Amino acid sequence: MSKAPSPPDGKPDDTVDVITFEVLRHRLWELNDEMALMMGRISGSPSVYESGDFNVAILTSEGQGLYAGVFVVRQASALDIVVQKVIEVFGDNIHDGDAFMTSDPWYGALHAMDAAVVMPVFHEGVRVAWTGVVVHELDMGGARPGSWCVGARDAYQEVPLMPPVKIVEAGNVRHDVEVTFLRNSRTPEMNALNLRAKIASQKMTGDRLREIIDEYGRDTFLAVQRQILDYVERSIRQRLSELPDGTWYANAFLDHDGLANRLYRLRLALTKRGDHLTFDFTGTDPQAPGVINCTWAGLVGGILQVGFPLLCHDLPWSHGAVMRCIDIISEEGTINNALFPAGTSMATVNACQSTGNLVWEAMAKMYGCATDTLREEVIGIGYGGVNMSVIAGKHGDGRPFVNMFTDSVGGGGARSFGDGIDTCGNFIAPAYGIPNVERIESLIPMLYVYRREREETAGAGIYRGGVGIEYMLIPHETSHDMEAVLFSTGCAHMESKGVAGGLPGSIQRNIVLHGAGVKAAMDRGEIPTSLETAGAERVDVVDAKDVRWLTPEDAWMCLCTGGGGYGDPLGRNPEAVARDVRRGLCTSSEGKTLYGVVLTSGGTVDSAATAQSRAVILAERHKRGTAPEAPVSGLSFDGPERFRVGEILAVRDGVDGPVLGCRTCNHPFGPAGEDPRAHALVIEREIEDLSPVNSYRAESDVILREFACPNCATLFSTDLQLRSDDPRMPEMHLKL
Amino acid sequence: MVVIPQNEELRVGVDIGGTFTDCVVIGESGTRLTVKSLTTPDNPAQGVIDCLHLVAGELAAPLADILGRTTTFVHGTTVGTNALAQRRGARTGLLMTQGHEQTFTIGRVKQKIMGLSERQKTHITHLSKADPPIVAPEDIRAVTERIDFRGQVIVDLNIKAVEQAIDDLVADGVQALAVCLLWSFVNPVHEQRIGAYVREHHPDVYLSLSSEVAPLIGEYERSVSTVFNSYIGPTVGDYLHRLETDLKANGLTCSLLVMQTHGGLSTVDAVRNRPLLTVDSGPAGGVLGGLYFTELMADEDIVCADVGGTTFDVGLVFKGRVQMDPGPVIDRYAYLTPKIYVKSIGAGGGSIAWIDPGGTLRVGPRSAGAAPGPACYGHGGTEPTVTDAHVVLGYLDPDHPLGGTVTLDKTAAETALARVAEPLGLSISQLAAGIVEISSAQMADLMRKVTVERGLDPRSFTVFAYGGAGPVFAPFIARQIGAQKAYVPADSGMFSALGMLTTDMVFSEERTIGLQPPLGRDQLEAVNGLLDDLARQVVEQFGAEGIGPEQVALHRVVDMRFRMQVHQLAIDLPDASLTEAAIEAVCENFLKTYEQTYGENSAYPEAGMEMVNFRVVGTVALERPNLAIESGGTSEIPSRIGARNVYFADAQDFVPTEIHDGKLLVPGQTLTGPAIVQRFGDTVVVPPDTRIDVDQYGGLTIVHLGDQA
Repeated sequence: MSKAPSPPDGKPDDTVDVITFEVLRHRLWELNDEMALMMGRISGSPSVYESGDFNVAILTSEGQGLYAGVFVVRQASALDIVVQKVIEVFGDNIHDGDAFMTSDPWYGALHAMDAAVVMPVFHEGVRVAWTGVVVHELDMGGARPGSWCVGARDAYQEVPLMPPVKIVEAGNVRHDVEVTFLRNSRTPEMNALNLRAKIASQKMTGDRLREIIDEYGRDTFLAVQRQILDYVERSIRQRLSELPDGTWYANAFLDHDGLANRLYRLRLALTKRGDHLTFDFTGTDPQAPGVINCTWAGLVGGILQVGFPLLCHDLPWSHGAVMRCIDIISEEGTINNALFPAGTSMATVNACQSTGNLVWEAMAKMYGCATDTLREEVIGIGYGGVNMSVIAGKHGDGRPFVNMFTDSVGGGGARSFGDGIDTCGNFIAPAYGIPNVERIESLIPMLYVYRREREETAGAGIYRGGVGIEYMLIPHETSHDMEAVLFSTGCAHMESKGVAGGLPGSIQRNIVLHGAGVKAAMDRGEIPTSLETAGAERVDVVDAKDVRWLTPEDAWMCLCTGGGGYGDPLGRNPEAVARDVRRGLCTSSEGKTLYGVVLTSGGTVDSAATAQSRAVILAERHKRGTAPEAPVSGLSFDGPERFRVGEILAVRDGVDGPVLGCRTCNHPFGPAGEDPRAHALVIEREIEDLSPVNSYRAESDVILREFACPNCATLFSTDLQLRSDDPRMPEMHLKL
Repeated sequence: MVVIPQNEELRVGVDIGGTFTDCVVIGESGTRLTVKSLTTPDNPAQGVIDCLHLVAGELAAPLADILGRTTTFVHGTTVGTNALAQRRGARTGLLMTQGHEQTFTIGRVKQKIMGLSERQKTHITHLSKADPPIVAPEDIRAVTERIDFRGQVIVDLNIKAVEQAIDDLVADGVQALAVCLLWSFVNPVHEQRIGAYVREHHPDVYLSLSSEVAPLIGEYERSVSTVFNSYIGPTVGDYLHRLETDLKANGLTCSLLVMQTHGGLSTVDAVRNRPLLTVDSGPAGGVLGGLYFTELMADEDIVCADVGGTTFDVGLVFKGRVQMDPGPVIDRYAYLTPKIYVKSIGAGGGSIAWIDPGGTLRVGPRSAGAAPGPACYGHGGTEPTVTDAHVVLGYLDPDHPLGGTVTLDKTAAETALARVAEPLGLSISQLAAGIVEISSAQMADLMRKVTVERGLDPRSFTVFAYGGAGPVFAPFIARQIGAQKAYVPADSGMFSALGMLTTDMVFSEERTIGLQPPLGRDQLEAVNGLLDDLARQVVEQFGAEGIGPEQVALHRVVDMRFRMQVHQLAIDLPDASLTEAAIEAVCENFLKTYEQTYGENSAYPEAGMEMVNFRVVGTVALERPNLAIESGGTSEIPSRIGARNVYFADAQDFVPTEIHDGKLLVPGQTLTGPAIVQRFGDTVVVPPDTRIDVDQYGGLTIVHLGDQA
């Protein structure tokens, strides 16, 4: 019987046959899914079932992830760190029937609300694997409901952290540890249920793994684990080796640290050589005084939450295998590699998410140079950060309530083959869903005025980003005031950048309407469906991280970003713009200013006027833009094409080596190794000019810079930069 | 040739599938005739009549005589399901509460992954919501009105504006309307007013109100149910009307009963109002048949494995009950309707074996489908499939055509397999055995998932295998999940049609009223009033079919859950009017059932309990068919018809194997593996170390001997 493909580095040939390998590869993968099912079944928790805010993993005996579940991806990738830290801390004191728990970001949790439980799997006294489950607990205590500690300056002011402890010893739950764990939470019963579910689902998975060993033998089981890592590694390396070598750059902002509206910047240089990737975050800002930092666990989670879907869309999500194919360079004490006692309670949706956004951006640029189907994996950034609220208060009869509003979802990034998904949610949590209005109204004394898809949020492009959601609530049937913890990113800048010349989505915001006109309107028989039609005595655009008290006369509105676009918006099919206008996803004014599409009064495309309007926009770009400093000469761009770069650029063979240029007009930019932005026409735009929504943005010096072919003025790239930044900070350097 | 005595009353079941229309006819004595004809997608009623003509031919009697003797005619239709899948339903306009009219389009955001396997979810850059949507966003209109969770009117209905919107939609060509307003299941007054306008001014427009179709909490799923109902309403209604007319014209005197997705039968008139209940009802027939067999054999727990060419369906019968689906999904749309649980994956005879870029042998999920089909079909398929592996291993006999029609080309199968075997360094038969092992393991993995997610141990179930490829897989799947035995019914290729003849007439009505026990006097009164209302509605539906209330067995159920937990469980209610004490008992029963179902300590009673949906199910039992067979053969004629070499993985080689003719097996007969039983529509593999027992229904129990020895 033939052996499964053996590892490339010539390890001893203890491999199992191809058929057994495939049977067990599939079975283990299903087993990991089943652990998630069991987790949900036992806990019954809405955070598990309705939002999918949890994850599971199966790992090797040394803590290398074999399979991560398709829930909140970053949570599972951090389980490797949890297991490795537990091995480091407990050493020989790890026995059959034990389970370990931590909520400490310096031991692998992403933030204090992600309580991770991991269990070793033993077979006849030998440790053969680990399992792990993490759930985002609704509340773990601390100054604010939901434990998002707006206003805290450091870890000491946040939720107490729990380094790894033994929660189950020789099969028995340690009640002293359990009560300590539950003591500080506002939702102890729910946390207790989740804890039981974490333990029970892993016990069962451990039994199932032992069944496999009984059936196939321990050596086969261990060999299959090694082979899964080898197989995934080999597949990733194969994928990478077909891409051109080079370095692709990304930068991302993070606004408001919980104390003040201040911008932080994260940077990434992604280098691909042969079949290996290096993620270099050097130059990222130092850790913040507030609660938005993440630790090394969040940095790794941030990379893998994007790396898994982009590198392993058809492979098991094996942390251990991906880590073999990448290096991470990061300076300690930076915002996404923070040192104790940095505040981290908002790590997941801030520094960790921004890290992921850097990876989306850099990998989209890299995949834009692919010659094969990887081009279809190019995607703009979608709803990236967070824009939500935890509201606590009392029912009319005095009963307390706490609700985390999981309704906030942005649009998906545009793809190289089509528009982004409208009201998509965050891709790092694919199974995330929003609750029915009727469900929430049956639980808390509030009424949804409206919840709808919001025009003017999508990033424009050949393919546009998906639109974001907007919703408004009022207190209903209670006379008590309510405390709202409001927390967002992307208020002072846009999170959802476009790709290949596409424009970014809008900013996002929480807005409180003091003395709102909603109830009066309803009494008149009208239902407001926007801030304008609701009306208010005072419109209070709250800070990105803030706290407000809502009185029964107030309303709260939440508006979420759309996804980033793909390609120059002037290349969009005018019929698609007309359809979007008809469906209320785009206004005719957006159609005109962003896409140059003119519609007749009947809503059909006016082709002649559109052609003229597009010509005017191109002419404007030439007029307003800054031409490259040193125009190229002596190069021609008519050789055979090697590969495309993004949407309109390409590398073609030239007399003295490969040349980068524009496929639209055959204008040569320069030798292929030079950064295209160095040869671009650079156009600056105020972000208010992109969407009326952006007029609500928090103060910042962020502007949009567009990079176009200096000859035909077609956009090939866009970036959000500080006004003071060097506009031509690099986008990519190919090494051919 | 089957002979059903000429004076016997007949029961007829006709099930339309994607490729074939299956018909089962059972006489009073239990004699069975099964017939297949090609499905006629453009006019499915014609396929049914064609099939009946074949029956008439086989029985050498005029069709009018056959239909005249028919006392029960049961029909399973995919017309509604196909209209949804192929987007060939009526253009439907949707009316929703202003500010929430995009609920259907937003699809709770989750729409992009609903119904996808974990493997499909990982390709996140390629996710999409339902495309195209069942209702075009342009055909959705906002209704100015608002009702709150208590049912209080917060904003009055602006009926004038709605009337205008409806007139515009209809003028623009909308053929059906769906109305779903917030909290309409608590207070339907606004929906009813809109309904009255439509019925009066646009009587030809098919109308569904969410407060009638699915009066349950959860506006998104309720809107989907309502839209589905309207979208397929005209199509299903026209089809059933035409079929019933055709059948009556041909001599049918009994009423046509239609299979519903919850497992009960309904009449044509009732289905025309609630066509939603026929959506995806096909797989239910097989599970119901399984249920009936568990009653016959006193074998309590079975896991149903329906293996076809492209789809593998799994269902469960546990403790004598079918399992219901808590969250049915079709084509990314989650909806609310009582539905028998069946889990599907793309796997079957057509699954293709291939080598992935990482160098690993994979089987599926891509399928050769019906065209080009497996290489051995000789219709141009070149990639090796599971069926090709079956041919090469000797499980399927090239000279014994499948279903009497398809002949198999062994050389083509070998050529296709060789392409994949060579780079892996495997022989053709090693690869073929590997393909069977991998595909059975995948099926076993799904069966494990289905049982384990309900907290059940798959090893304690009998694998109940049917569908064209079920019997050939049965022993392998059983072994993979560690089941002691597998069962293959007679006529396994038409088992769904047979299953439909084993169930009852059922009408059911339900509604959400959220209550937190203990209940006060007013609440008790409200619940009792609601249950009486629901019971009256059910009885009226039977009454419309000429069935008196004395024949109807009413059963009352409440779906309960803990606040802050999402699992709902159906708990039986006593028949008498509910009292405080009765509610207390129901709550105790819920707590007990919850812990039994979800595990010890899984309940969260501190949060309090909620009674969510109340349901009244009315059943009129139909007489069960006699399935016992006159012995097919006699012990004088041996069933053995030959021998050939067949490959078994344990032997790692071809071994001489007896071939038996299924027709000649006798109840009580036992065969020891290795053996192959060739039947009309399928082939049963009996590996070494297994034994089959033939029972009085013509079914075969496959017992693994390894562990007993």
